[in-house]
Amino acid sequence: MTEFPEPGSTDDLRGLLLRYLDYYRSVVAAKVSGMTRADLRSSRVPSGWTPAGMLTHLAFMERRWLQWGFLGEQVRGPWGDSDGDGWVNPDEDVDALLARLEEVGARTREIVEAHSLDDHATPGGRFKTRAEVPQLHWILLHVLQEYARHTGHLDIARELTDGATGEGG
Amino acid sequence: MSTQDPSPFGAPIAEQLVAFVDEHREMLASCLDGLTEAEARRRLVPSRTTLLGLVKHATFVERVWFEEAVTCQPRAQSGIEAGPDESFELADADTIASVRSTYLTTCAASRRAVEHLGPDDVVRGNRRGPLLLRWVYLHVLRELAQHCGHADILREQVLAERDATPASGGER
Repeated sequence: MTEFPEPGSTDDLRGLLLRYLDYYRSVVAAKVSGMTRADLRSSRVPSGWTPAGMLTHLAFMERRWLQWGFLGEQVRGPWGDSDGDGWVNPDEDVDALLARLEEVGARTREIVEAHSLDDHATPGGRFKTRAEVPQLHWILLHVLQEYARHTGHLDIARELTDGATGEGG
Repeated sequence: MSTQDPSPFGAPIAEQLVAFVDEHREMLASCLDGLTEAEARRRLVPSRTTLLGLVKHATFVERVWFEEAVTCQPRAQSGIEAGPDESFELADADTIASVRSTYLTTCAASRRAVEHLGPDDVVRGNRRGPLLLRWVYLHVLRELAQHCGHADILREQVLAERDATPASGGER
């Protein structure tokens, strides 16, 4: 697992934000490790989301903010994690779901390392006009809080799974 | 101010960090809204985590980062719990009103404690050593966001349980 990024006195905030994202990706991977396809596609909560849906959401969410949003790239199916009524629930194994997350994460690192935190997003993708574009630091803070919050969801879902079945995790 | 408003988009990162942390403080406090005392104390997971305990723990987080770290006064002297585990524990006297009020008062004290400091100022009272304030904000932000995630699920379960229980208290 990626080592927890303890706060330090270095001023490399860009590097810290990237390490936090790596850290959360690794926590998410650890939480779903060992889950079967059936586990991944089952919900433990009244709202009905599944781990497979969340992993897909995280990858699409990150891509929406960094590739479509910040770079202004044309991406295919930016909202492909949603079925209109919630998250999709793909029938994929854990390796395939995590591979997509890693691929998006690698692209994020590439994008962030090539820019300054104060750079503004480029209109043309998610954002239509210059007036509405956020800076890279806003995007990274937003994506970080999304990861942290969803990791909190997964923490409890995993705890519910273990309590119910006695499976390790 | 919500970080989703377009206005903070143009703000410097120092202001963004404060806005994101403040937003999560408000969201965490709101996890107790409209609950009964029993619901706020309901244990729905094997660990001791409860909604009331989460907000109590968040008070501890504020005091560790914006009181102990800033003033350098050891936590035992200022009445801060020894560690995170203790901070989740509920006393008989704890209520939604008392825990929320303490949390909001503590958040206000946190804001005052650092209002004279900038994001690149260093605080020295944490066991990790000297820390830039903006790193503290980032650390607190991700911790609050993860706890908001815990609260989301616990609250969802509490409310679902309520819907499944006859309003008459099960007498019918």
